[in-house]
Amino acid sequence: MASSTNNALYIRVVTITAEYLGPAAERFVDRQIENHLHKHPHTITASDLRKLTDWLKLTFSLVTEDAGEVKDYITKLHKAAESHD
Amino acid sequence: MKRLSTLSTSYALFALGILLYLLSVFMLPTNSVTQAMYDLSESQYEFLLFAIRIPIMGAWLVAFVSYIALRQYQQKLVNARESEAFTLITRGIGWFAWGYLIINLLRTMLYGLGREVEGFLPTALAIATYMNVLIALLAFKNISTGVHKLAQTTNVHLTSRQTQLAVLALTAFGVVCCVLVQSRLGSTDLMNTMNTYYLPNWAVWTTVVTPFLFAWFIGLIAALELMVLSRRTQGVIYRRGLALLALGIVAIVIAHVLLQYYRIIIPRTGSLSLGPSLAITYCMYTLGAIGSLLVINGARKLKKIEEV
Repeated sequence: MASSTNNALYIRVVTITAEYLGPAAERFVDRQIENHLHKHPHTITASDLRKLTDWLKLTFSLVTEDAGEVKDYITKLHKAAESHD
Repeated sequence: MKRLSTLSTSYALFALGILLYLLSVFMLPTNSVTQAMYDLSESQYEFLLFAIRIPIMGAWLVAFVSYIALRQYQQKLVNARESEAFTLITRGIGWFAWGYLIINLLRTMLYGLGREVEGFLPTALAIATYMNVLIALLAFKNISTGVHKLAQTTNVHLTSRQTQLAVLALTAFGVVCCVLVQSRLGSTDLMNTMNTYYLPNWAVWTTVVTPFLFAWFIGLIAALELMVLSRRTQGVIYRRGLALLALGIVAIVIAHVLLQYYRIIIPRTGSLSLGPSLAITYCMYTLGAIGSLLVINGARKLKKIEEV
């Protein structure tokens, strides 16, 4: 659960995703981290973010046909990565 | 693999139900009253009954597919907070999907038996009424509890104004229903059985009208709660899927309530009717089928989020 971890980066990614996927956001982010980064979701670091963003962009575009939504989502993730650095 | 076989079993059972229903249309004794009324031969009567039932069977099929689509989405939510809520909602929709096929199958058989066995038709009609009461209670209770649990997980609830307006509308709906039922009963004597329900008046009020009103009210309040929830829940994309699902469930609930409402006001006679009764039944089934299509679409959108 996003609320049961202190990993600020993970919480930020889930919070941004929740703006689009609501209650399904945490499960969506967890699946991408586990399946593509092969890590426990709560252990992601700033160095994982670029690869994670690539996967999130790819999978997110499968749930919406609106290119604007995908672009908006990825921009928010990039901003989060920059502010985390 | 196990899920696939469960799915195949469900489809096979549904197909078997449809087949049995078709067989019952052609195998059971025909209704001589209807035959005489429309001047039909036995085979003409059977084919007419078959033709009338085709659109209705289409609506059952769409309802069944919507139940399967919802179940497939619900199975993706194994450890999710919404899992229990969607399990109950799916069960409620499942009661409608299976219930109407089973009820119609049994009713056709009971009516057939009623035409063979002297004096059995009133009993067949009373049994059919109670089967409808049972399905309404099971379906609406599950949907209502499921929607309430979903509202708890998302912390979205009806406002006091919405609740008050809903209670006002439902009270009026219930009062009109009671007035129309009383006009059908004719006598105010509670022991009187000379009515179109073939039940004593006290039994009509306590075991038919009261449980129906309870089921409709909780079903309609759940439909309202689901609409509010689907508009206020977080997540633009999730909300789109949930809105379709909610709209579909609302249409299904309204279609079933109106169909049951109509049936309680104008009870079945056991004879085929080609008049306004059939048109109203078709309208309600069409509304239910539109709702089922929306549920299929919404459930698929939500399932996709859980799959990628």
